Amino acid sequence: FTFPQTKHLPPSLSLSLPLNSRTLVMKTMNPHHQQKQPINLKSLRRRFALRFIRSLKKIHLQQNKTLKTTHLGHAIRPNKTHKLHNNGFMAAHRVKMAAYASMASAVGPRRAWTRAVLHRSTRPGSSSQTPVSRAQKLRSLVPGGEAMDMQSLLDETAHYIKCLSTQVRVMTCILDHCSSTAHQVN
Amino acid sequence: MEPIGGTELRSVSYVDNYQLGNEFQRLIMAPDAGNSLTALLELPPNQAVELLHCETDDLKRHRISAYNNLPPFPSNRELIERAARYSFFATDNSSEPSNSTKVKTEPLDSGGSNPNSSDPTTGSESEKEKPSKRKEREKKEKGSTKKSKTTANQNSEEGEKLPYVHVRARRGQATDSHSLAERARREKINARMKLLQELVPGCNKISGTALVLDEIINHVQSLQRQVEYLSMRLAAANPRIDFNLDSLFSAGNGSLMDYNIANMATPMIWPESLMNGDRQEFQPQWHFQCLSQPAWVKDENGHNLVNSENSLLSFDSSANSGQLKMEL
Repeated sequence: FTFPQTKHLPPSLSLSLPLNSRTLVMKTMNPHHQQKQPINLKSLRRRFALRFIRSLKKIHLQQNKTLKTTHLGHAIRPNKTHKLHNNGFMAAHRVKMAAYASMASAVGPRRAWTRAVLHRSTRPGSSSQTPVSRAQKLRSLVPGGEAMDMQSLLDETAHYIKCLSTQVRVMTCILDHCSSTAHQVN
Repeated sequence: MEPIGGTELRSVSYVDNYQLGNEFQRLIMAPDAGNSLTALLELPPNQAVELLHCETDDLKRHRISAYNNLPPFPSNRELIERAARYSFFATDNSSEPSNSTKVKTEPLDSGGSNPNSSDPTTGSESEKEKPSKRKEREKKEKGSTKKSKTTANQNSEEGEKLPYVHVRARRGQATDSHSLAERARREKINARMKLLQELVPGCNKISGTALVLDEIINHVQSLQRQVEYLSMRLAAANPRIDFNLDSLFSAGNGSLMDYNIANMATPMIWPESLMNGDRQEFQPQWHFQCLSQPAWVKDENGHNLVNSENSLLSFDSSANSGQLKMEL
């Protein structure tokens, strides 16, 4: 088990990735749409994968850091909390938040739901009533859906579903790759 | 009139197949047979055919007016002209690029009852400057309802992008300003619901807004549950992983492209398995669901890349073409 070297990607690489001939093709295909740009899923995938892996690395480092300090410093805290840090539900929660945040930043602030997700860090208190009708259920599901009229709610839902499915795909691929490499190492 | 050539004779014969009986056909086909018509009229055969030709012209005119679904009154020539101009504009608007997105609803009413009526020729350009919200009535004597429906659709769909809505009331519907606005709003919402139906798998067969909404909610919930489960797995697998970005991008993105959508249909065993917390049991199930393979051949990559790209692009193009169709 080797400690991973933190490799910083050169900024040129991350900038050149979204540039794709497909985006140009799709823009010329739709001269009628001026407000909305069609989603280019391929570049979205790449951007999300990059950011998510970076944040996973960060979380990994944090966990290892806490582990190391306790080992070295003979921590007073009992071992249970350390185990929680690594293998508990909090780690899963952190990974989940990292996934949503990286997806939102990959899309950018042009969508209402991404703006709501990116601003979520400042306002953790969510006071939402129990949803009664279908529209309210949808509003509670889509981030930022509380203060939207029906039309834009449906728009945001469509975009959100696309991005969520991309997110799930990328995460499964990362998991598969990691589990396969882990098996190879062991 | 000009002397009748062979072609005209042929056209006359085509016309006469519909209108006149067989006798006249025989007359025309054999004008120099010295038949009864020329004998009756005491005219040379050329002029006899001329007479027939003139008659058939009137018949032609009658038939054309009948095809327009308008009674052959002289007063309706105005309407015919307007209908012709209107159809011209209808096709013209669809072919125009919608950089100039405002479309004028042509006032088809005969007479000056509508105070807002303007020249149809200058309508499309003057409309850009008039910021008033306009709703026009349709009279029942007007032509086919098909035209009005397409323009209503066109206008309401173009109205999505405009600050002001140009709505046309369809035949037999309330022309109240409130109901028109409500109808435009409902049409917009229904258009977006159609797009969502295409997104969510298995929604095409369901009819009814409420059930479709239920399906959409279920889909979003299942996607969010998947994200949570995956994040749990990743968090558990984190300590064992050596994050090497280069290897990930060489092999990982190859697998990203080739990933199949088939395992998106998640069975409901997931919440139960989450309760178990036994990952060893679940892993073979997970790999069974996954169609991914560890060995990626480059040819397969390219082929599947095209396929996945096509499926993704086809979704987008279908959505966009759906919107384009509604504009047309």
